[in-house]
Amino acid sequence: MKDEIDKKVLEAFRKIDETIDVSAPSPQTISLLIKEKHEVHIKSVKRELCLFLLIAVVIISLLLLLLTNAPLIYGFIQVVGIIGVTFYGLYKARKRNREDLYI
Amino acid sequence: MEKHEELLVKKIQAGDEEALAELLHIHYAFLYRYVLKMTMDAVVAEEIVQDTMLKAYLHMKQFNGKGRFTTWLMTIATRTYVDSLRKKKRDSWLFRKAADEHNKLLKWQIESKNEEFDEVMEVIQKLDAIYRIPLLLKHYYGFSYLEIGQMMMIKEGTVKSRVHKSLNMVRKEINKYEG
Repeated sequence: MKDEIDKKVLEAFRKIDETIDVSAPSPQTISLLIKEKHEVHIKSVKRELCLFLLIAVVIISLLLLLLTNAPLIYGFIQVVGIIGVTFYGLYKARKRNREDLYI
Repeated sequence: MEKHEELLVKKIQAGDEEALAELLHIHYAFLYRYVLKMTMDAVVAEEIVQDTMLKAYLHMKQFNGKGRFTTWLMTIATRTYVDSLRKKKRDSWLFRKAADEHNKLLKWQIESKNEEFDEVMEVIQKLDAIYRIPLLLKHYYGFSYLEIGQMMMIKEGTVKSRVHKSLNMVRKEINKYEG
């Protein structure tokens, strides 16, 4: 059974080989074809390289911006923190006062 | 290898582009027929053959001349096709639609020569390429499991398993056809 399947598979592949006509292009045509494909390949590589450099520049710029503005960000966190704590303290005090009034 | 080919191989190793073009011309039919059986798709076969020739040009100095030139070309073609399948998986629904159309072209080409595109060919065409390629290389071209593993960059054990599985799948499908 296994040999039968092997034979059928071999026969199928052999039929494809024998049926399909292939005319080989001349060496000059092959050279031209390779040159054209090579030019397309170089353009594609250049495009990918430009895209990579662009993304790298954007990421590095964002990082530098973040680092150089670090004091501002730190100051912003301080202000938000102070305002937040002040309002929380006032809220707690008002709540305690209301509780005292009900005693 | 014939003396003329040996001379061309030496020229290729030195970077002679004309020698490469001549050697590709000599083995074009062999390469195309291999790629056609590997892909079972006439349109994709043309693309893969052209990409293979470009890669042979880009890496010609790396051909050490120890093995056969045709084996080197088959290795490049196999890896090029497997890479293209990975990229096409991203657009799988579009790829499947195009593949269905291309499959009909091969069937038409064979039937136009008054040959039958039988159920075995249909089954082989429907096989996933990762099973069809080892089956083709082992049973038709007579490569060893180790050689196939090196060509496809997979383990020898994986090759054995895939060849075995592909034969089982073919057997199962043929039994369905035969009722």
